[in-house]
Amino acid sequence: MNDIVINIKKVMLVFLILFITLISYLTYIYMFNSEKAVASTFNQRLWAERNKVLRGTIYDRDMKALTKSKKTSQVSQKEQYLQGEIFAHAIGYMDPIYGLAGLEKKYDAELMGSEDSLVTKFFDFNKKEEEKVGNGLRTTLNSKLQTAAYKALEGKRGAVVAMNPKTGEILAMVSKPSYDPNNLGADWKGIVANKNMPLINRAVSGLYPPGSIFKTITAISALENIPNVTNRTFDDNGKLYFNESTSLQNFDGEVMGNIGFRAAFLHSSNVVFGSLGIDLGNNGLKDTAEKFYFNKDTPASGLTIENSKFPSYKNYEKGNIAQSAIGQAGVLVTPMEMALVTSTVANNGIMMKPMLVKEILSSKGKSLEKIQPIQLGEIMSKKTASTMKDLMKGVVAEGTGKGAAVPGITVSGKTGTADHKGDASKQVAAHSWFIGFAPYENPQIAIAVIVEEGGVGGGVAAGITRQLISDYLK
Amino acid sequence: MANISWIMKYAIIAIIYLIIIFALRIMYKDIKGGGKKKTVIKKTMGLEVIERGENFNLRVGAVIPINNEISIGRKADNLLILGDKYVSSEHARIYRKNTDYILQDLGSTNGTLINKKRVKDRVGIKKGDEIKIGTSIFKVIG
Amino acid sequence: MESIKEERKLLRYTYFLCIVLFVNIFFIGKEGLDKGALMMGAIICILFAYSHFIIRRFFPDGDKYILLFSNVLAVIGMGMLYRLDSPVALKQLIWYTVGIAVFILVVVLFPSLSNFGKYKWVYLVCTLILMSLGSFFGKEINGSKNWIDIAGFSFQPTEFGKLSLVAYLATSLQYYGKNIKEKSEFIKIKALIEPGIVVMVSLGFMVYQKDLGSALLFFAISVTMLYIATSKFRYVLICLLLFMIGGFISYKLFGHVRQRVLIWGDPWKYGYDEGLQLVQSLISIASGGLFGTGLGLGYPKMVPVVQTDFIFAAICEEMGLLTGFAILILYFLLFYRCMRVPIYGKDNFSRLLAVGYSTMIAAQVLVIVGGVVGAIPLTGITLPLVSYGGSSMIVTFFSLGILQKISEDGQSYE
Repeated sequence: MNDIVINIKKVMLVFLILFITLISYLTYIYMFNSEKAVASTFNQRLWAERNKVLRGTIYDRDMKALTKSKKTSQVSQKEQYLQGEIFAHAIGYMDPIYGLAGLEKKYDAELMGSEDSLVTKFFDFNKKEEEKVGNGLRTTLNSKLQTAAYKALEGKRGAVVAMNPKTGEILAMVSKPSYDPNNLGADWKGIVANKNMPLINRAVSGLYPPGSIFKTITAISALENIPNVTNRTFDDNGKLYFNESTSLQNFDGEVMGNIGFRAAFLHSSNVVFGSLGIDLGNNGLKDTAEKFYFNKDTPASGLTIENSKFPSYKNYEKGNIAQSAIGQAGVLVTPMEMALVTSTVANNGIMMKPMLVKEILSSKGKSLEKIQPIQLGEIMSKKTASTMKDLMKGVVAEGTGKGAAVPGITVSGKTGTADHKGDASKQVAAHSWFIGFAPYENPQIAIAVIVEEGGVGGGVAAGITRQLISDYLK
Repeated sequence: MANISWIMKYAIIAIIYLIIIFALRIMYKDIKGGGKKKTVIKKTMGLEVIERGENFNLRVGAVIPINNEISIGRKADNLLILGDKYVSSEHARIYRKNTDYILQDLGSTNGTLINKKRVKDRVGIKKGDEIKIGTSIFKVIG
Repeated sequence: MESIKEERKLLRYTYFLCIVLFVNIFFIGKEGLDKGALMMGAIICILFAYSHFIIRRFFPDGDKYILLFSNVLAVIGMGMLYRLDSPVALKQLIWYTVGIAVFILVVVLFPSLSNFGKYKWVYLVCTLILMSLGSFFGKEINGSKNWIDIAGFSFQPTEFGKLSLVAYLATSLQYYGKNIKEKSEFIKIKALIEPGIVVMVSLGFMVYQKDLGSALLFFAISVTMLYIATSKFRYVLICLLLFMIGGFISYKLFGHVRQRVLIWGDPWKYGYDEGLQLVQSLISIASGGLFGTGLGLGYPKMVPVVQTDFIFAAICEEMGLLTGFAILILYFLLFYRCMRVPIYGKDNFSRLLAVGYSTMIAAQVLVIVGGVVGAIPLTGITLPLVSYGGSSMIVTFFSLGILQKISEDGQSYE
């Protein structure tokens, strides 16, 4: 039946066309739709690739592990924070839902990077496929100090920043209230709703009126710009008048009488420093402040510091100028900024770049990169620095900062009691500030402490400083 | 180690396409060579004339080769023509099936005998079998 | 004589492919070197050699390429299955061995197939029973209710039903138009009524069991056989029309049909739930590129049901789009060799049977690959020889065995 043969050939042709159509369709979607497919949110391959590397560990300066990573599925990992709340703000967090923050974010590439080269992997026929582990970070943090600072702020809100004035290494950075980075999923709602905003790293992002600790900068400005200011005598009768109605007064209305520059600093005379501020003028003070990176982005390694603010005033705004000289009016600082100011004084006028990470290591412990301390500049002359160091030594020995004195160690510093408005403008306690360094002869640590609504600087903040310096140096 | 796959994938694709191309070539040659495949096998068989009986066109000792198929009968269009009166016009045929040869009786009047036994429809033949058609006897040789 | 040499050469390439595949898998094992892969490769090579030897030695008349192409397809499937999940691959190896055994047994044991053209009623009853088994005793897996559990093995009776349906149609249609005296169209059509009803009943069962892929397949096979037997193109058109009407009706009637069509229209919209399979399949294919990522370097396991319906996507991702094309080409070549068989067939029954089984395999490939790449709505049928599946493997090798037998019959001088 030849019929059949012809029919079969026709059927074969039909199927041939169908197959060719299918192959063409496949080619078509490959050429035109494949990019869209690969980039779509349904494609988990990128996550799986990233997840092939087990995230590296973050260590303190003595190589004690602060984090631990574990793979939870083909596309995600879980990070365990061994010290929980204590290091929360310094290290940050890595969460599959809430993303990255802190060091985890800044050094994400290094933590997920792996040192193995392509060539060595290729010829590893006999070994079991080893798990790739990311590089490690060795921070500058001192666990003991960090923990002590955290405990010292127990039940309070505030921040502590401690650094090495010679290198800029941050030895401790604590912000309270804190949160537990191990439980972000469960706690998130509570954390976000908390009025006290535990997520904010107050050390670098909290902007506070500095109060009297700003007199340090005013003093530096005076020393650099007003010749012979150390020999001047001031008449402090408790109040400084700008016009008939507005004035500024000392704490508790204290009248200090005729005092010199040194005494005014040691006893924190608002009147003297307010008038010095008027003498220097807004520009004079502002220039000095901006040398310390006020109103500018402070270079830093491993962290981002909010810009401290020194306001601009017109010449006739004497009241504001005077207030700004004593750290009120529109002046706002971060604790980190003040720690930097202190460090610079302790380091003979040279400001070091603050750094949080010392070294990047391979997963096997090999050093891949050492991060060197960097000088940011000479902010004041050696002479000024020396004068300031002496002044600050006096504050703790004889002045308002006696609360920070440690037997056997010469502590230097400055107190600050910063007035501020609470909410609904009701009367609230001032913020308690203390900045200081020790030992005087060869400074190892510079520290800034703020306790929100903690009262006088010479009280709570000074006490915390005393305890921490004692723990660190003894 | 996994990187081996990165190289081997090219090898795998190459081999598959080699198979396809090669098969296509062979099939193309096949088509050009014409329809039915003529499988030539090593095993050929033949019929040796043992007794010619009344078939005077046969010579004793002659060998008639069997190439795939041979038709036997009195009609002139048979390959092996046997004229004696006991042979039907289309008596029998021997054909190759794969590697064997089959002797088929085409409904002849007097039957076909293999080793003295009558063939019912068809039977396989092997070397040494004796086939009697009409008055002639043949021996199968291989 | 040349053909033997060339066959051997082709066979050698097949061994080579098997070796390369499994050596590759050997190296990428999760816990160091995977010796199981080497053993599996060796066993498959032995099976290749053995099956080829039997066919060559005892049945040299038949078509040689049917077995060869089938083996190439099967080894690609087993290679990928081993990479995906080695226990499953081992099970597949067992099914493959059974398949080869069935293939050889069919060729060896069955007498000439022309004799089988008499048993119309047997086939009819078998078909109806097998088709309906699913509806009465079946349990629902993956959206289609056509699996039966016997002694711990799940199988799909409709797969075997396909075999008996083709046989039934072949017996019914073989005498069509034989009586040239009765040119009356009406009488000829009468002969078609009975098979027509059987086909429609079977299709009905399948749609009811939500096995739309098999329904489409049956339809394609029946129409093709009808055309081959009658040479009347208009019957084909009528059937297509009926199909479209039927399709439209079932779209309106059945929610699951509507759903499949909607997902096919814009799979990305349904990417999280119903459309997940198709979307992941498309992503997988796109991720591989022309040459693939290499075995073990891609993520085929992100595609659901990847061992059965979507194995084509996995192969495209890791072995490349080029391998995907090659597979389609191989299937077409297999189809071509199978369709050559009826050309040289001796009687109409064998020819129709051959056409039926060839179409069955080719249509199945088109339907499932079409669904997997999004060319047509997705259905739940397997890719013959490549997907994991015992029923599929046995049924396919059985059909191939019959085809081989017919080809060998057709070449003989009987």
